Amino acid sequence: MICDIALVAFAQTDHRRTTDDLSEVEMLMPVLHDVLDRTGLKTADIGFTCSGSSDYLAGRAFSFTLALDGVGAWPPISESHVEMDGAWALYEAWTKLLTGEAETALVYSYGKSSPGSVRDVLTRQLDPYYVAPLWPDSVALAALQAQALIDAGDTDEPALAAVGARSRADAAANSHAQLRGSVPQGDYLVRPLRTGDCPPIGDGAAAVILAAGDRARELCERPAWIRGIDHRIEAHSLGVRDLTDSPSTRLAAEKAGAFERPVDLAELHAPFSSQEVVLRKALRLGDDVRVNPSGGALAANPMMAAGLIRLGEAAAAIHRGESDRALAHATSGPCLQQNLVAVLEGDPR
Amino acid sequence: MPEVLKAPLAVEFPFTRSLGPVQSAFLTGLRERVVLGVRTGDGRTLVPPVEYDPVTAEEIRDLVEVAPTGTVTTWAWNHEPRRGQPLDTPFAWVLVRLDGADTALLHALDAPGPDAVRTGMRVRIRWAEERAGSITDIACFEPYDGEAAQPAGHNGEFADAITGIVAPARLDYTYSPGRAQSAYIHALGDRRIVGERCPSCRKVYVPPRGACPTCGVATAEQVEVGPRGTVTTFCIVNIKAKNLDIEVPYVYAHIALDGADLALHGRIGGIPYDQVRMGLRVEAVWSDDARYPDHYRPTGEPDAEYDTYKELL
Amino acid sequence: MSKEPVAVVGIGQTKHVAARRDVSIAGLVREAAQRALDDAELTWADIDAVVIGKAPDFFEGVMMPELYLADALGAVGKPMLRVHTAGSVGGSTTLVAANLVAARVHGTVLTLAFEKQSESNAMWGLSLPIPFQQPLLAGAGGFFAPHVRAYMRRSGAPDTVGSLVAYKDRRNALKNPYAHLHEHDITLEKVQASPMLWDPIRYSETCPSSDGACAMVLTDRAGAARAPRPPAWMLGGAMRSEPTLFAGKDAVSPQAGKDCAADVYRQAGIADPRRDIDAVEMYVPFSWYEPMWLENLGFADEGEGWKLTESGVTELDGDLPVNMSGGVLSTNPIGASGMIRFAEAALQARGQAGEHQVEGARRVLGHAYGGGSQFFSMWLVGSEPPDS
Repeated sequence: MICDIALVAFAQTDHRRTTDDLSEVEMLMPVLHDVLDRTGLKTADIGFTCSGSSDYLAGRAFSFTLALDGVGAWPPISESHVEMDGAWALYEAWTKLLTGEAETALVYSYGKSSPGSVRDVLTRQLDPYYVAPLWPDSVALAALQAQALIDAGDTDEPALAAVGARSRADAAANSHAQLRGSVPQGDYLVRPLRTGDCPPIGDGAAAVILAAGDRARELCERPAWIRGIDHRIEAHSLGVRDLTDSPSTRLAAEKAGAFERPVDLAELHAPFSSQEVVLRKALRLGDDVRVNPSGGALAANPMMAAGLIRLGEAAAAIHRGESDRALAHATSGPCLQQNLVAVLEGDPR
Repeated sequence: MPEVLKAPLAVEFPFTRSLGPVQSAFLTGLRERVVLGVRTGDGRTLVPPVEYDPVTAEEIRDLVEVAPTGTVTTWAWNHEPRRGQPLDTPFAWVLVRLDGADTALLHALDAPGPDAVRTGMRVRIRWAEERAGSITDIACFEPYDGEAAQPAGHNGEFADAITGIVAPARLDYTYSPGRAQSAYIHALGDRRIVGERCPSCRKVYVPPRGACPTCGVATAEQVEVGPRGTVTTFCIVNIKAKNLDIEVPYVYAHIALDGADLALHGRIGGIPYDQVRMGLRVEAVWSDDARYPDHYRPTGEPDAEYDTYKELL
Repeated sequence: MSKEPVAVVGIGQTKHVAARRDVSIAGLVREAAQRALDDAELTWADIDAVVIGKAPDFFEGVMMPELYLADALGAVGKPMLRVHTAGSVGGSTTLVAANLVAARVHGTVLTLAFEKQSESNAMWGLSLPIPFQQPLLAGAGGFFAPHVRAYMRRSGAPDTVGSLVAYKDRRNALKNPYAHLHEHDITLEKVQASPMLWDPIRYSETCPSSDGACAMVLTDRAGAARAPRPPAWMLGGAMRSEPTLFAGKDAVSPQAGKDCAADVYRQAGIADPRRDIDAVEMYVPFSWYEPMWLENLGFADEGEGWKLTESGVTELDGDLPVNMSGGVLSTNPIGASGMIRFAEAALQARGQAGEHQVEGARRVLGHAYGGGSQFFSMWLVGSEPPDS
């Protein structure tokens, strides 16, 4: 099936430590308006809508049903929802457009980490029989991975600190980021990870519009064409995985065609500095590739949206003419269990 | 703008988990201080044992005993233990490959400090004094410098195997309802029911949810509605809800307050339950201690015509 | 280039019961998935991707449980998607999986939906004590019963119709070995004499709470050609959503349901659903929803749906059998309930429904809905491939 599909618009909130003055829909709705405004489309013009969010973050069942209020789903719309990061909602929308049943898609996701203790909430993702009863928090699991990398000689603490420092320095140019500029590396949170190695906890939302073929060219001066997109999952238990590697990322990248030609930019969803080390290795990114010029998840990590934001940031760089071929990555699960890779390209200039 | 409302929300439940054969054997084994692994088709031994081979997806059931001693494959120092974690004093999270196993198990290591922990160090299980068949029957690991313990060759069959666990879980949230609902809730404090009008379709939403759901735009203009309204439809509740102190039978109704463009829900009182009807005119009755109207009672007005409320069911 | 035709070549489900205490969550989903693979005579290696769905994570207390279930479902090294669209999720999950085949992204996809309600308590999960909110004033049925009354007012249906549906569905369930409720001594009098819980809804007109899983193997033309048993072909599929609550919402016959059905019929070339569709498996959590959905889906004019039920048209041997499996009224593992509807439609089109097979069923509609009657997903499956 020959069908070119592109990201034609991207919008996001300013990510904040807390948004307790706003309900989820109040936080999300301006982003939906923003992304539609960028294309001149209205809800009724959109062929398919797909979102990603998590009931466990919100602390209430069916939380996505209220977020739908912000879309204006009337007359009724063709719509779906994944209990995953919005990057996977984008994947679902991409397949919908590939079938030819829709020409445009609105993808959004949002997450408020501020109401709960996200470190503890994420323990509920773990094997409910052997692991969840021990309440190992997300920082602890990432720290086990970081130590494995240090033991393997793949990195050391100063190198990890440099990842965090570079991310926040780059985020100084990103008005949406939560941590911008110089941020102290801080004390150990769970050794070997210091606060500077860990993502900020915060709330935010993001939205993207996809369009197929000529429709994309009408809606965007320089569409970010999806040349390939794929995602793969690994075994769940940390004890059966090589934590210093990410075979699922590598496989997804292969399937997405990432290794066919070099990319000039990569937006990696690495919530912990150590995970950028793993991903760079799996994706064979050279030093000439700009990694996370947005600041990445170390500068803003709204859960369920941070992966979609990587796709949006990579696309926006192509829209602006700052990249010709970009890689975007999203992750889910403990220690990079599940990974999505997309390769985006702009038309030759 | 009124102050933002916030309140704690505890999400807590004792989940009842049935185990299936492999997990039943492993957790029963822990109760008996026996550590079981499971053999895969290609001869690897997975500890903790799982039901399906992560590599081949084959069902695996061949249980073998492994040693309670092993080697740390990676670790992380947790100087500030959190609620529910295995130890309440600083400890190391560790992945431990037990002697005889090919994979590692996640647990805590009791050690004096991070300088006493390294990858490759030898450890052994410290058993909990009281064991009931759960992963916490392993209290933690502790440093160990002896020989690898020899497993006794247990076959995984137990006389009184446990088949389930209770896994209590509590998460604490701070709930904030946001701008529109906060305004609504503040007004209720003055016994006023205040909705918001959509700037686009002009419909009045009660309670307001921050967005007009059909137009996808923010509502802002506040509109007081009621206190009278019309019962548009209802049911008679004959079954007592666990968390409610209301005598059955009672009537649970959709009530379109005058000035509102959709119905809200309330209980009807002040009239025998079997005399409530669609179209009945009612008004809010407040009690001293409650945020919401306690119930709605008949006003004595003539019933509303069906055509006047048929869009508001 | 047109879409790739999608075929159902494997269907599996668990015996649905109140509590499956003999299996883990992984064991439950695995059982359905393995049966679907066996039906298709395929192995785990033949599956390109897994699409899983379930209702709120709070029901089992596992956040995004697909992460933990990847191993049990043979998904390691493969793509895995997790769908959640409230009660319609089993249907939506199927359609997401079908799109992977239709778009030629994958050749063969395993799709699965489950709920293990016995791990917690659904009413707990649905009524978390959210601060500031008015407490729910009635249980699950209390949410639906006022809409039923509104339907009765609007249609003039006699109040006996709900019991007829329950009596029919429970008898159909007796022919379905996987159904949860097997009430061998069921009589119409017993249904009519059961307590009125949320008047106008009686106890026997409500659905049970079940543990269960349902799985299907979807594949392309090449896969269908290799299938050991006749496939069911997808002739049309659609999802539609409207807001939870809004001014002017018709909770009795939601526009999203009408639009969703119209889209499916357009894709499948159905001009007159009453004439062109042989059987319907629809999501009826409370018995009165059968006549309501008959109208919403275009099988009867507005206000006339109850007449089909009353005259026996929807009986298993009627002219338009509805809920041949026994329906949600007999089996309700919430997240799986929508997929069980879709799977039953496919079983019928394949002629594999056993004792509850409708003779000569060639085109069968599967229907699911959820949320505040706001999320709809449907598919029409047939015994012949599209455009043949």
